[in-house]
Amino acid sequence: MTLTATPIKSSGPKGSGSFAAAPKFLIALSFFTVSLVAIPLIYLLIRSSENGWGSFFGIISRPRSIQTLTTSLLLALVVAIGALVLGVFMALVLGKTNAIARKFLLVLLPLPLAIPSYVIAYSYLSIFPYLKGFWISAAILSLSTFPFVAIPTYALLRRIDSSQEEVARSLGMTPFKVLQKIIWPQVRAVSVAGALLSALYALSDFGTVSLMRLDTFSRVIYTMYRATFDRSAAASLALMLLAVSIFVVWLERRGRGLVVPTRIGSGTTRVGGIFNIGKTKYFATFLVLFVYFVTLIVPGYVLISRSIAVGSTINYSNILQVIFNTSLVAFIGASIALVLALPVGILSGRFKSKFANWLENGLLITHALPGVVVGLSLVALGARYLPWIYQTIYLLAFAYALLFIANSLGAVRNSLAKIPARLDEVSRSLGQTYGQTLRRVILPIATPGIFSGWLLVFVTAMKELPATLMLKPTGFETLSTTLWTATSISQYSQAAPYALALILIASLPSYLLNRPNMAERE
Amino acid sequence: MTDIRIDGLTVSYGETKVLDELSLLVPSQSLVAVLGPSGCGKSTLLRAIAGFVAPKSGTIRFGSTLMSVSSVQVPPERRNVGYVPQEGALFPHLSVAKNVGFGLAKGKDSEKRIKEMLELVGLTDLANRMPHQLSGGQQFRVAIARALAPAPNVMLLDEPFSALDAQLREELRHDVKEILKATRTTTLLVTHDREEALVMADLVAPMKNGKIVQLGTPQDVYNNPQGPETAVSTGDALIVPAIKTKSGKIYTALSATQPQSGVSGRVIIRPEEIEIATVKANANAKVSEIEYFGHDALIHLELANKTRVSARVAAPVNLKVGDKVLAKQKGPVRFFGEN
Repeated sequence: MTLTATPIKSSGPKGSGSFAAAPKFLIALSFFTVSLVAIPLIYLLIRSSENGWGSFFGIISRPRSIQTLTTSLLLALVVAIGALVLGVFMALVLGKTNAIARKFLLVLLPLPLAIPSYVIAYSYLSIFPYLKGFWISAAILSLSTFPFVAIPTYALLRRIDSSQEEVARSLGMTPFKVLQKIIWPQVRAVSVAGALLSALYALSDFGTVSLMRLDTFSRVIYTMYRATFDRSAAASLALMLLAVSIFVVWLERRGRGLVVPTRIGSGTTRVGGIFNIGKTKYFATFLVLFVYFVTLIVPGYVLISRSIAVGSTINYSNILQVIFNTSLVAFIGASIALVLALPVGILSGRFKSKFANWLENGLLITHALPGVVVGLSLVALGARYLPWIYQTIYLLAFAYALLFIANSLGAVRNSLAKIPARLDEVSRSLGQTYGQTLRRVILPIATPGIFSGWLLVFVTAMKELPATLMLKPTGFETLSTTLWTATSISQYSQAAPYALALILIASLPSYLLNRPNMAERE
Repeated sequence: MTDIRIDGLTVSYGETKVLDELSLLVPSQSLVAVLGPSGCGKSTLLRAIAGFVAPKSGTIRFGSTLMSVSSVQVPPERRNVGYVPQEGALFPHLSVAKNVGFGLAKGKDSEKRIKEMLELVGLTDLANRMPHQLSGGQQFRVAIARALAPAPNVMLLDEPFSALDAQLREELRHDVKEILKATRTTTLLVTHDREEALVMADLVAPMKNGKIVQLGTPQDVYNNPQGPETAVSTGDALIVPAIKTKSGKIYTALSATQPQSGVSGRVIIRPEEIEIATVKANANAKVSEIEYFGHDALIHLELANKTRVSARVAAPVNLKVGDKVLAKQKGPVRFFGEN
């Protein structure tokens, strides 16, 4: 048999050994993705410094800007604390005690995430139209984001080997001491990281604070964008918000790094024990029920009763049109996000290298992007340089892709990283090139994971509000914008069917997507 | 059929040299086992031959065809090697038949070849099963069939049986050896399991610090190890201090007398090369512990000068702890000077 030798890149300098093995087309495509994502942010930077950096610092040191910063930071802090307390409490009661109907109540745990916080805000406003301000906003945001804390905390609680608890008890600790000395130290990093996600949500939230008339960054930026043609001021504030958000994401990633492994030895794990808390269980169960009452039952009741009340006047063809619009843009957005995330995900999931890590972290920062920031930068960029795409659904879809590419990347990366490198090698040794190996082995195995990532972006994009408001073509309405418009002119009943449709279409899939976490070890 | 010729092969990860000017010849149609502890570089050797790592220097040839020099590497997909990693690594999304046919061009011939291969490994009935429906041993057989299907130049097996339980391992060792002989495929196997190397291979190559230190038949490597470490890697071995006199006589703690002067060094004794006799007088050792295995036993002895040695004796064992015995060495004396 004859073989002609073809040169391949010999391994480069230290530390980039395995990067040399990554095919060039993947590297090129990854660069493309990262630059495409970076352009709007760089443009924001250019725009805010348009009138010189002196003007930029002038804007951000105005009393109004400082006040906005203070309000936003305080809100983020209070929401983080609220979500932490609520989430840890729910996880402990549902994961560690003999609360009544524990397993049923557990199934409901991810559901509050499926209801956008502005829908909760809307439902309370429609009962108590005078609600407004900081504390109401903080309460709603905590209540609607506590599953960020509760779900991972619960999962970790169930993974802690019960023999640890037994050893501690045999060494003379009371159950409360066990909780304090053995369990809490193992879960706290995960709980706090979850609380930081709640803080991030609070920073980027637009709907709730606007309905509650609280001037945080999002609302102020949006108002400035609407009211003036001087968008550099809005851009400066957006840059401030972005800096704060990136800081929170950085904290969150640091926190995850502090998570300690829940077991050191080998052997099978027995899931943690359940503490008998005696009569207290009635009170604990009541509190859990109360949380669900506030987050699920009240909004559900409002949406259904109001929808029925306006039943005869509902314009079904309009609702269908709006559902179609919403799904179409979300579909395009999720698909763009997937296509852009794919090369970077393959690179970081299959070729461990500093370079891949760097690309991945660069893209994951987009997790910190608030909707108004992306909206503002794309409006500015589109209006000035891209008239052919400005005011089309494609620019809106691209905004979704920017906002949610981190989710897409995570799904791609995780489903690829799970596939053993041996499979690539066997395929190569059986005469397949890297491209053929990707097509015949890697992607088919990873498809279910990648698809669920796509679905997650799809349903999340359907709920997006601020970027949609700023980028939707004139006359084009989605579920969230229709709901927003009706609510902002106090037509609460007319908004109800749209809110209900949004919950039904977006909740169901996101609930199903969150369920595997709950089924774990149960 | 092809031999594998490796010359002066060096592979480094950063500053660490994993393979250090390694040379090895795997003769055509033979099965060579590279034997070494984990971290000695044996898997890297296999991966360099398959083309998954790029060597820094040295050459790899299949027959007269150059596969790898420092500047030019034939990519893995064009080397035509059969690679069987640990635990088989079957493609989980493909049926048994599709796994076996993965490396074949589509067509009528491929159907025929798949059937042939499944027959060879004795899995004809399982063609349509998915990998997760197979036992560990069956998965491994499929991996062998998949690697052999495109009629590879050489077969590379990486710790093939280490994930399997003991009984299955013995059965598979035998079958795999038969299959490889039947197809006359040049095979390189790497393992840390000395029994696996000795039982399966035509030639055993103990490896140390990125180099092959010896190449010989299993008997040869076991009986005439190149050094104390090699002796330990191929089986239980006692390394006993010894003295060699000018006349060439060698004395150890087991000898009846000790010399006045000589060169000090070490002697390697296999436990089965120590003979024990129960004696009334002249005992030189005391039984300190007995490890009983059923078919034989390992008797731990303490010699007069506190040196500890152990002897393997066939069952039945008529000794008990505390017995005074006379221990003598039989078989070859392998002396290694201090280095």
